[in-house]
Amino acid sequence: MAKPLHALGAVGDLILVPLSAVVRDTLWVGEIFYRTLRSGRSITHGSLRQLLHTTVLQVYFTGVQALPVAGLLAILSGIGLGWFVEETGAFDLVPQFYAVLAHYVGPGLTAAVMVSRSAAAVAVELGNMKVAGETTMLSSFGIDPFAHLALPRLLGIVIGSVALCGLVTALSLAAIFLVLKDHGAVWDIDSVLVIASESASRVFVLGLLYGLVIALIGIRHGLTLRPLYTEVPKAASRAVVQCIVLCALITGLIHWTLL
Amino acid sequence: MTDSTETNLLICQGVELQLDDETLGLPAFRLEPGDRLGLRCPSVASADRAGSLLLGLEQLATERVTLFGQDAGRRGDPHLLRARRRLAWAPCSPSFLATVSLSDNVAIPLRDRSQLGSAMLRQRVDQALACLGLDHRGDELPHALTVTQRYLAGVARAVLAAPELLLLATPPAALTADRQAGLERLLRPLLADRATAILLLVARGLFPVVDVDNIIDVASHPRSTAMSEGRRR
Repeated sequence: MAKPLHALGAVGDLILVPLSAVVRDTLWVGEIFYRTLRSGRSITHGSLRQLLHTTVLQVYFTGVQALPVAGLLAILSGIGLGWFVEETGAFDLVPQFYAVLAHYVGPGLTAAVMVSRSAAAVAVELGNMKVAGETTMLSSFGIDPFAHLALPRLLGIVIGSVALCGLVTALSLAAIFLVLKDHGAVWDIDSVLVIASESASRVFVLGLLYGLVIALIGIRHGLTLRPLYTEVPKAASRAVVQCIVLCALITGLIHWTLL
Repeated sequence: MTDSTETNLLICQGVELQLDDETLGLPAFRLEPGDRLGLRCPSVASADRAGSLLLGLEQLATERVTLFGQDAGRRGDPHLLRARRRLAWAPCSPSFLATVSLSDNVAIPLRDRSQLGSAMLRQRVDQALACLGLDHRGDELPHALTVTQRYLAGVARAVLAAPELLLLATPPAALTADRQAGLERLLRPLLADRATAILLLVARGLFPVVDVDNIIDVASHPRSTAMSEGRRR
């Protein structure tokens, strides 16, 4: 009797433990999102300047500093696909390649670069601040850490993500167009612009959702870790892994809903 | 100033911290505006703990707290944050934002509580740091400071916030005569304005710097001893 029960318990553990972790993480992210948005009410005139300053810095870190790497990868992807078309003569597939670049490659590269840079950076920075008692110090002066630390990072990452997503996608389209521009009989600039305008809303939504997910997961793992320095790298790796999974899920969800 | 051991209710100019006997472990007392109360603590660590307890930083996660006549609720509650803007706490080993210069760190509560422009803000911070002999360290990061310099910068940060209730912990080391004079100069506006500021000292090391109206010896109180022993267990 004991063995079947143990087996049942093991199966239950296999399902229930990960499920409870997912539910717990979802609730945490929901609470972080709510408290971050609610913290906007406690912003004073003086702290508004600091919030704007931190937001601009975060946009610079997430959007501008990531552009060389993400842009290079996007250009290489566009050139690679262009050369593939030239070598194989598959000019009939060019519209599909444009769509792949605009819908998946550009946003995907953006998400990969942002996850590796911003998610880990936010989790480590906020985690170190939590361990060093900096968040407690802010609270002791009546300054909401969510308003002072979380809100500008959320805004900065979302703005940077949307902008970077659009730029990277545009660069990949421009790269393949430049490679194939000598074959204007099969594909011209007007067609590229049509594809780009059709994809704009999808790229915007993807950038927005990637930014939200990366910021919230980073903030969640940074601000809720146990105050031990050994927990900081674990929080960073957990944030990166969760962001990768969630960004993949978002891509699938958008593909399914906007198909 | 009235002193009662019947309840453990701290009332400071409308500030009420209602904590249970086990957590606070201090005699109840009432402060009127302008009073200066000294809590004599047996060690630097206990001074920091007493200040932290009084501010309710540790207890607020579990206890209901009333501040300025309003139910402040639990940690993160907006009422609590608003109430804390009327307090300032300068602990023995203060925390600073590690990636921000000392001047910007000292300016944090002042920037949050006032509408001063950047230039005026910087001027006020520089004046406060100059009082304490830290004017040449303003652009440095906090990790470059000594323990005593960090303490003094913490005091400057708390005083600049112009609080209704200021909690000062004991200095981590003996202050030189220059530093004591600088601290007096920095505190003078608050001490002069006895109608709006209450200075609550939690260290014997600061008594030569600031005159207090009354001193409560934390170590002699039995509940405080019981609490310490209970925590050790």
